Amino acid sequence: MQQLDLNDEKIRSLINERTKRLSEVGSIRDTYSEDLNLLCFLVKDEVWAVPISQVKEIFPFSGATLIPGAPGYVIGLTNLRGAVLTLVDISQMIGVGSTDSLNGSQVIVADVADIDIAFVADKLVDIVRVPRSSVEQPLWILDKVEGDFVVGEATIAEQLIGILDVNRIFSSKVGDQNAGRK
Amino acid sequence: MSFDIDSSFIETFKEEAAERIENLTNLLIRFETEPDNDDIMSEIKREAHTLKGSSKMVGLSEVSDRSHQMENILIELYEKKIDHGLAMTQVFSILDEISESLGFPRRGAPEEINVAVTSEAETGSTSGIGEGDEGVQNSAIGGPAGASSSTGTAEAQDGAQAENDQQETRSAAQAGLAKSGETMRVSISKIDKLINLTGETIIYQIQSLDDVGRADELSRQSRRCFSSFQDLELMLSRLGSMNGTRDAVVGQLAALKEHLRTLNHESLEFYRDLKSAYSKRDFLTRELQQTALSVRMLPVNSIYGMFPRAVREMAQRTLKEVSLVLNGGEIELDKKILESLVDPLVHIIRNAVDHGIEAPEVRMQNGKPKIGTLTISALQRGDHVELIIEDDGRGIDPEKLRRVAIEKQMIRPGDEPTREELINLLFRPGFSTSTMITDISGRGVGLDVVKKNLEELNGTVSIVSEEGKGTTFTLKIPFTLAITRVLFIRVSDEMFALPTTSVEETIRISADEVRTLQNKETVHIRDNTIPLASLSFVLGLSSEASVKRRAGKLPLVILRRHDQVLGLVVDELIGEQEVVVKNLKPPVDQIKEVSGATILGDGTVVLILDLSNVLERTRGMEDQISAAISEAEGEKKGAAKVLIADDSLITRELVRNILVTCGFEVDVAFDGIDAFEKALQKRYDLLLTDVNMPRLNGIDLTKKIKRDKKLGSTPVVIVSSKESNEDRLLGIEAGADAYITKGNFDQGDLLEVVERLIGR
Repeated sequence: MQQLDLNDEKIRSLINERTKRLSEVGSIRDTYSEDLNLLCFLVKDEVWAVPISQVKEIFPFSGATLIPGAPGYVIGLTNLRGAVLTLVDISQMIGVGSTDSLNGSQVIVADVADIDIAFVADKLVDIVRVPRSSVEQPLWILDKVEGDFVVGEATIAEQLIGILDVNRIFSSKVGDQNAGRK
Repeated sequence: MSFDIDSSFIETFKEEAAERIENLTNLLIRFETEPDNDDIMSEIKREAHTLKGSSKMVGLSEVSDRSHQMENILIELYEKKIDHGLAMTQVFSILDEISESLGFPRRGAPEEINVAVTSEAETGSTSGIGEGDEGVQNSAIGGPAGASSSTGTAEAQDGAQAENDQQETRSAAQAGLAKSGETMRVSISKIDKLINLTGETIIYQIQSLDDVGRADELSRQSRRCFSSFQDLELMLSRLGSMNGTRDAVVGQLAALKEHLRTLNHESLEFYRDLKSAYSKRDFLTRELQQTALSVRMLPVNSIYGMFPRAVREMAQRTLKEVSLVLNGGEIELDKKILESLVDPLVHIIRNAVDHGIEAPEVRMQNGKPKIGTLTISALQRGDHVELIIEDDGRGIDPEKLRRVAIEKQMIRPGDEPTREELINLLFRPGFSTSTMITDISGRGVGLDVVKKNLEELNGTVSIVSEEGKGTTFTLKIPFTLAITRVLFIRVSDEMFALPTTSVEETIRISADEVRTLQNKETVHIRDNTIPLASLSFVLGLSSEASVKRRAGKLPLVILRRHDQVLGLVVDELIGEQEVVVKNLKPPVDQIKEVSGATILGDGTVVLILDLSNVLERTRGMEDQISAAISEAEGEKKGAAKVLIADDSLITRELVRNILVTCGFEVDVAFDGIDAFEKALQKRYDLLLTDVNMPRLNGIDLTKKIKRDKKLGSTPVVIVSSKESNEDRLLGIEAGADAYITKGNFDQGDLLEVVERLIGR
């Protein structure tokens, strides 16, 4: 992680925004619906999940245009019905290594404001519905990944699965990127 | 009434107020030149009154109080109870305060395109196009005293225009009140979405061209089927009958033939229909795209509006008298381009008023009209627009530029740059002539910023100036940024698009034409030495920096920016096409070398490179490239140092450029003495000297060097215009290692001799 300069206005506003979002949402558990729909997918042989509400669309990977000079976690650009979408390697973003092969993988388009971004999963596992009450604070997974991208963990089919918050991952990375560049 | 409705009222009011304020500003400026025109005055009072009324209605008390104050001043002015100049200053400052309290930027349009309202109303209020009127707006600007002595033509035009303007302004005001029916305000994001969708339609349209091709192939295929069937039929008819089997087969074949005939016919029809539908749709989609893009287009008038007042204020502050003429306001440009033009234009106008146009007394002494004229013209030229800013002031003094350039060490005291070269120095970063900085134009930004702004728009700027007569700036700007012509190329199996505006030419060279000099790969093309770089290495797609060992022909894209030239070696030149530009979004929008992307017919995304940044990056990587090449060559060597002694600037610079391009470190001396002194101070690997030089000539310099213990071993090359054998002999006797004549001067020869003598 790079050293954050707290006097930097961009970083400060980012932190403020993040604090605000945390206080609004608290954790995913607090939102009103009883159940939480999760999209489970495989990244580097591990199952991860994102709330389905944060997913716009899923389609099979069919190639990407390389961008010279882009950050390492950017795989490239792809065309989704005339829109240019940035593909990122989520395993690098959460710090669990990097994807080796993109063949046969799935593109998950994130629902993030003002950013056309999608991440690539090795394989889709399932869509499951879990009671919000069963979502625990992320204790076990926390030491495995970078930052506060894991917002909870749930036991599904006797397997402990980390739930990622797409918004936090992308806004933080994009923010870092811009702060680092200026 | 809920809060929401209130705030939407305020928004509507703001839109209206913005128009009113601009209208008021223009009217006030007109009034200054025609203080006795009561029609203008009453128009002004009416506008101010309406502003007061409507602001009161929506509850913006600050605005209504201010407008009230303004109204009072105007009444006092009308009754001649208050000094004209003072009143104007007060009214203008009140308008500023109102604008500020409404949160308007001091200039620049709100983030909306006011379709047709802006186009029509502003055309009306600022240029007043009428019959017999050539779309010329003319307002004499200066102190109140200057107004009455405005030039004859200006007055005549003003007079003819007053009436026109009056009507236009009135109808514009009415349009403002009852703007329903013909026009509506649309948010930019909707328009951009529309343009994007059109772009996508075009992409699919291009894709369907492939389908047409496939249908063509299909119909050819079925025709081939049919004709080979006919052959078969013929062959069969030559066979004898085989117990009636033949008849059965013939029957079957007849049926098959019918099917084939239908297939053949149908597929041909299908191809023709598809092709004609394609052509019609092609025409329509292009028309659709043009129309969608035209929605973003605004007349140049929409920025002209702010200049009369800006010029007026600058003229007052610098005690100049300036008449501003605005031409071609009806020509349209993309809104974003127009907005980006404001800063460069204001900069150029400031320069013109401040430095260009002389004080009235000086002008009269020089036999010029007392009032200076500043003309801004917009002209449509093929696929671009030209904006010409012309003043009839004192012009640019080349001597002054030379002094500053010497001071800033951009040229040497003995150099003889041409007038054009001197003027172009103005575009160099850091060439802010400190003696020229004043309150008006000296804001620490130089013309280099203007040039940069224009380059960002894919445009150019140039200056022509005649001393005593005036200065002309010409800005060339494309109509739109949404579509651009690109050259597709391929490197390391990736396709890229290069905007053709930055490409000078494309050419194929063979690998053995590449010369490696001082760890730099170069090629000679028509007497120019062009440094080469591998695009795939620059973009980090390949670790091979050298292009020399590639097989076959090397496709080369030659870029030129200012005085820099670079040959980018690519793997394949594919072709040119107009494409729809898509901007990239975070996190990949900050990559300097990439300006956007486009989508091909088959759906592939292709990056559009920003070539000026690619050039910049290549320069930054020079050391890295040299290191890689020297490693590839298997030898380590630093740049060899060469001293050039010549009293002619032209020869000196010519030779210097050739050697610098090839990676030599070059110093120059103005004569023999200078050269000898320099040689004593620093070790040179080679000395190139002219023969005829003041103080100490080349022959004597050679002798002196060769006799010197320390310098004796330095190779000396004499470059002379004397071709005779005696002269040559004289040179050799003096101890020169080589003698080159200028008459058959050839870059290749020179480089060969230099390389050989340095022995690397």
